[in-house]
Amino acid sequence: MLAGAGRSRAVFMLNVKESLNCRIIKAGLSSVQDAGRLGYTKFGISHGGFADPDSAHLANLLVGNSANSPCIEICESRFELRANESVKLACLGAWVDLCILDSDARIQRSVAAGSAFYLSAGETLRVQRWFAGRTLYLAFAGQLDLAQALGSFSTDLANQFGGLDGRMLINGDVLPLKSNPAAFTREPASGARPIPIWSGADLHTVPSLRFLAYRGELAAQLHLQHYQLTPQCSRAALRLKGVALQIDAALSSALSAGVIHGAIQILPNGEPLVLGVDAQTLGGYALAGCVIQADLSKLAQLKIGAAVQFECIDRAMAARLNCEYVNRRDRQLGAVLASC
Amino acid sequence: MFTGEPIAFEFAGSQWWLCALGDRAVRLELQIQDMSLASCGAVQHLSAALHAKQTHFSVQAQVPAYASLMLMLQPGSDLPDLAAKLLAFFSTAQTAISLKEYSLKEWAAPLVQLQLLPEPGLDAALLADAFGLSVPQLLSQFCAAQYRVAQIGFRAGFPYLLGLPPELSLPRRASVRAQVPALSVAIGGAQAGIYPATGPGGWHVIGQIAQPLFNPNGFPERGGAPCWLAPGDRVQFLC
Repeated sequence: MLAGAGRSRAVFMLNVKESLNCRIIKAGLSSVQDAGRLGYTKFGISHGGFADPDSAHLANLLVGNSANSPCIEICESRFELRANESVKLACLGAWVDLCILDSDARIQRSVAAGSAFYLSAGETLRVQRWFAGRTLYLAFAGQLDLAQALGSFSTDLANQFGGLDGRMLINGDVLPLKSNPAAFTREPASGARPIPIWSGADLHTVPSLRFLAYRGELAAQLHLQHYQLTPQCSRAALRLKGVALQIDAALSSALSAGVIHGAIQILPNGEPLVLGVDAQTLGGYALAGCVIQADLSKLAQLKIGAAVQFECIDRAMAARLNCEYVNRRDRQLGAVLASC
Repeated sequence: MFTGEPIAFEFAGSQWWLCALGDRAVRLELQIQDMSLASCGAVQHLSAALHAKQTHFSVQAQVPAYASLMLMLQPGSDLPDLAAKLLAFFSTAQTAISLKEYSLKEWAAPLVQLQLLPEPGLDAALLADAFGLSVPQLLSQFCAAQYRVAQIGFRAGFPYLLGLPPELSLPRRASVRAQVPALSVAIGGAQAGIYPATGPGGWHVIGQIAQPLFNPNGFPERGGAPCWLAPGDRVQFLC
């Protein structure tokens, strides 16, 4: 009886062809994200999705996916992932040091962020060091094979759905991948130069988050004050410390109302809190203004401890900066599409 | 040229501000900011009127609240253009007609009934004490009132309910409870609410329901919507 059971189990295992997947060895602070979900804000479900869509789109294009395919989003932390079969990847966003370990955990080679590369069966990709930026995207040729929830693969951490079981990735998670035959017939372009995503200027000067005032009372106070990004940063909100603003009682006792990614709320202690991509849909704190579209990806790349300034600009300037941003982004996407 | 300064407008007899929220959203705010059934009705009316024209306005999503309605723009669309279209819409006579239609629909809307479980909530005894009532008296007074979903937020499917009898209002707990059980019905100040999932919360728990409020796969009975309740719904608790 026992022997028979053992034999049938062995036969069963032989018949199962292991499907393409990758295993999370060190999850750090990572989750599955895509372009996010639309149209559910009236139910208290935020848009969510890529915190730095520009980097995520490029990572996807580099491996031959469509721009909004689901990626692993990694927030500054130790991260390692092992492939059970050869898979084409691209890492993009923060400026990091990437290396590939063989099955005996020996460093084999380093790879450049911002270009596509292969991970062979049994090899491990390690995010070794973070030089600049806080958010990194890992795109897989052929996509993550997960189910959508409310039209998106994004993990909604507050409401615990989407992505992988509605939570951050943990050590030992196995992510199934859809194989994409097209991705394996093409070698990554040899000598392809990595794409400089991170704006070098921001590393040397105080990054400025340009914003449009909301009724002006607090915006003038916030303009060009010096702040520092505290470790209390998540996909939902980024807390800053620095000069406390004077809020009058009428502003701080306002009824809650709709808020968006990039909105700058002033806490009762006078310090700003910038809403992240997973922000709640309703907010009750006083509102100083809202970070413009062109600077939203920058928000996801500010390092903990970074000095930050808010620059209040007018609508014409915002329109010009947004237009320049869209042109720059489209040129970059076009260049990647042309090189693939 | 639209500078972003708030612009006053009138809609169906109430006075509003149109305020730009950055470069991607506008907030339409009632000039008198209060938590009343009248304000909630005005917001719902505006929401319904604009929902029918969502494509025309290039609006992607709405967030109704107690005394405001936020509209999020579709990517690539122009905010000054939306502001101009909205103001043109508000200045037309159509709104008066839609107010009549809306009122008819509003009063014909079915009532969502939610059965309270027999076991009183964690704070039912405390609440009853505070109001000088017995627990059964507290529950029957709570259930006698009719509620309206003013806004949904904090968590997916968490309804902020207007209509709590004033004599049952009590300031929030001094400290936030780390784990409020899922589907707890609670009182926070003059509002009532229901926690869709287990998690932190500072409101007084009066009871619990069995009806799930949030389902990421959608409720077929609610046309596939992920939440059992929607802003504007009328709610009655049964005990």
